[in-house]
Amino acid sequence: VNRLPRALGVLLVTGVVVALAVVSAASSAPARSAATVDPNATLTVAFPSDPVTRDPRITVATAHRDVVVQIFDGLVSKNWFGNRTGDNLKVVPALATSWTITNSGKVYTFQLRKGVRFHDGTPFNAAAVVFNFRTWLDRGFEFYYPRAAAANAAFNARSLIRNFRATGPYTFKVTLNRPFAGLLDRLAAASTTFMVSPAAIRQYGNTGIDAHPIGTGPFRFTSHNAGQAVVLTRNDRYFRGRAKVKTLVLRVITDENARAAALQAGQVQIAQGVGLRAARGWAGRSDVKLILGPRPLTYMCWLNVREGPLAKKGVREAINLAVNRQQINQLVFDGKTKAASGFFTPGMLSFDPKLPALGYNPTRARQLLAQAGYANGLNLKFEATTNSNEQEIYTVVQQNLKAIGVNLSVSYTTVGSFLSTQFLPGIKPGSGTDGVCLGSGAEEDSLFSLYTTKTYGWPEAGGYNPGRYHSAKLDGFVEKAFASSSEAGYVSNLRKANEQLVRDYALLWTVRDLNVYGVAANVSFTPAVRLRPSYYTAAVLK
Amino acid sequence: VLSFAAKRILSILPILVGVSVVTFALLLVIPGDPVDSLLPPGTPPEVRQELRKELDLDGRADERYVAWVTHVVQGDFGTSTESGESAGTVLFRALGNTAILALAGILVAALLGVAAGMAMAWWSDRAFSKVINLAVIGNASIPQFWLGLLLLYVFAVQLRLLPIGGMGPIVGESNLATRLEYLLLPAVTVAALPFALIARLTRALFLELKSQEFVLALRTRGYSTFRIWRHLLRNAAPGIVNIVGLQAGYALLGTLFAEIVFSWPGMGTAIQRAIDARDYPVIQGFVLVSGVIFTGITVVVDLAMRSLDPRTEAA
Repeated sequence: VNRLPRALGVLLVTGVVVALAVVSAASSAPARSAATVDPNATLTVAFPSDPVTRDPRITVATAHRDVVVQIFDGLVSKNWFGNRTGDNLKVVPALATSWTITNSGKVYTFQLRKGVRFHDGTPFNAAAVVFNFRTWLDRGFEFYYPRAAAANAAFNARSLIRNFRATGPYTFKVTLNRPFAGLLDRLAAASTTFMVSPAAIRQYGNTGIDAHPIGTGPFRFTSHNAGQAVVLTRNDRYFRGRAKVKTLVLRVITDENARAAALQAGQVQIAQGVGLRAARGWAGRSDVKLILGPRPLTYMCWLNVREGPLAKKGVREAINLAVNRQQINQLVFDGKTKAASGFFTPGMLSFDPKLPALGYNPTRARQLLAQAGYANGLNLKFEATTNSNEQEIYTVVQQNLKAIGVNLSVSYTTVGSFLSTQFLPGIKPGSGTDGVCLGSGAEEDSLFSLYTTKTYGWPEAGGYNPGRYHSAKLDGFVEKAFASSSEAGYVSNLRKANEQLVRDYALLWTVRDLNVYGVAANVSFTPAVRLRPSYYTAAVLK
Repeated sequence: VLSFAAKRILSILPILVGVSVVTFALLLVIPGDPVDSLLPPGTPPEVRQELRKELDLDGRADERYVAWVTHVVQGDFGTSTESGESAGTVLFRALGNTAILALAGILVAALLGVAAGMAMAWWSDRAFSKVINLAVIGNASIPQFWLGLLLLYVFAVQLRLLPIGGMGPIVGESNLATRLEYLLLPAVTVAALPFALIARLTRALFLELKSQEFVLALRTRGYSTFRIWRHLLRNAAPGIVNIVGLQAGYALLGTLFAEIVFSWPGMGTAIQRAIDARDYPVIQGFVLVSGVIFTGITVVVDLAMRSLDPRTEAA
């Protein structure tokens, strides 16, 4: 008689326990899903400026590339994604799956990826690659675009490339007049060579690509509201796998403080390029975080090696030894960056993590000055830009040099006039300028030659070697690097050239730059070690 | 009246010619070359030359000036060297946005400024007036850039009542109410300085009118204070229009700061960008259009004053 109610009791208790378990599981569910990605999320980014164009072929300045890197791909790329340190960078497949380099570095044959479609549904194949190359190389082509040709004029692309053609539906062959191992590097980094839908160029014309940017990339273009925002939507067929957010809104907020404020107000989830100063107040906050990473840019000054005190190598070495890079790091970058070890930085193929940073030794610096006949000190005059961080950095440098008896005066001008009057024309003889300073970097190592060699870099060649430094040894290493048919040969020779540059103290090196992002707590984002960010891997968590 | 208007409008032509010549000459003198921002390092000189030719940067300065003026008269401001867009499109898009902001700012400033000025004149002998006066002076002394950031911090970041910037929601619905939300803070920022000046000048104007004989005459006839003030307002109208008109120019300048703080895509941001890139057609267009606007405002104010106060005809 008692059995039944007892069994009922057991059942009841079990039922309650199970129910409780279910309820508790259910209530703990949101806590667990806090780590899951919301696939339908909209990610809004506070963007420092509205890039002038959405047509990748004419994006000369890196600042113009912010939008196009989200929409377009090149034939090759680098292992940027998920690479936090940027010190083991390699050229990796993108729209080309493999390539061979033959005939002593002059013939490149690319096997192209099959099954890729542009955002307009038209297929990507060798014919599309040929079409794209013709728009900037073939003057006789109906869709030849002079501005794209100008944007690809570095290294004189037209005289470099002898011919190019499709040797199969998915095989593309480029023949060069002389070896140039920087080609892959260029195709990976320079968005001016990215692939645009030929159907779109036919339909809208070359100038219509700005309003109809159709590529193969992780996001497709939705709308552009001049000066306000660019809206992009995920490309669900992206060949690397689809992006983690459905909509990407790039909202233009030019003022740095306003970008930080927009993040704090919850109106954007990522603030691109916030100053460390703006972020100092975020220490105790749980809703926003600061994400820092290396950036392939170094603050440096090209020295006048032709005339004045810096024509003596000992003086150049002395001022390099007098600069306290740790102090600059602490005062300007909150101790988060690193001292320079030459031209190459993380995020560049030829960066050598084993190369030591430049040292600090004011005692030795004073000795060197005395040996060079400047025991009583000397005066130097530098030109620099009003770009962020430069004034702070060179104020520390001035104090450091003062300690060894060098009076450094620095004039600052906006970067536009600085480039036109100081940097591009080179230091004018008799001008009294001892150095020109510019934070410089690249995603493309071949640009090293434009900053340092005579053949490519002197002002007459259109290059960026304003101090007219020349070393036959360094130029030899660069030529060898360009003539090599392997990435290893390219990199090892460029590293040697960089070491030569450092040994000659042709520049005054300070510290490397940082990528600084303000990010909302519910957003996961690993910035690539690049000059421009890609939001392909960014995710909003539920 | 028509011939007066015609004369007044014709008189601004030499000013505009002067402005355009000076701008053109300045751009020849200042360092920088639009081609620099369009070409990568390592560009061979011949490619550079080719592009200069394509952008019409070669040739004699006087010929280029004449060509430019001829095109502008036909409504063609040229092509932006930076973006390849029509310079007129760049110009009028930015101008339209700035106009919205400037008009909203001057409207707020005029309504509040005249009201505050009248209140200060009405209660001129009370402590209340001094309090308003102090507030007005304080307001006039705040840098606009800072005021904008302060408003943004309080209303957008801390209270989260209003959007942080821009002209409207980027995704989602946009109607008049949401657009006004975006307009409010920048308009108040723009209004701050003209508001203070309008209030002070209106106060002075009314104090002067208040002491005139006709006020005493009206009062002796037993007019109510309210009716007397209606008369005063009618008499003050030309003066107020003059004050507000003059401030409109400053409001336009004030938008430059508000635009940067509130990411308002107007002339301030556009011209800064054009100067950075040495985008000559856009810079020239901006200076010319600004000249037209500033001289245009003075002409409109002159004409309005004339219709409100026939005595100005004699002057």
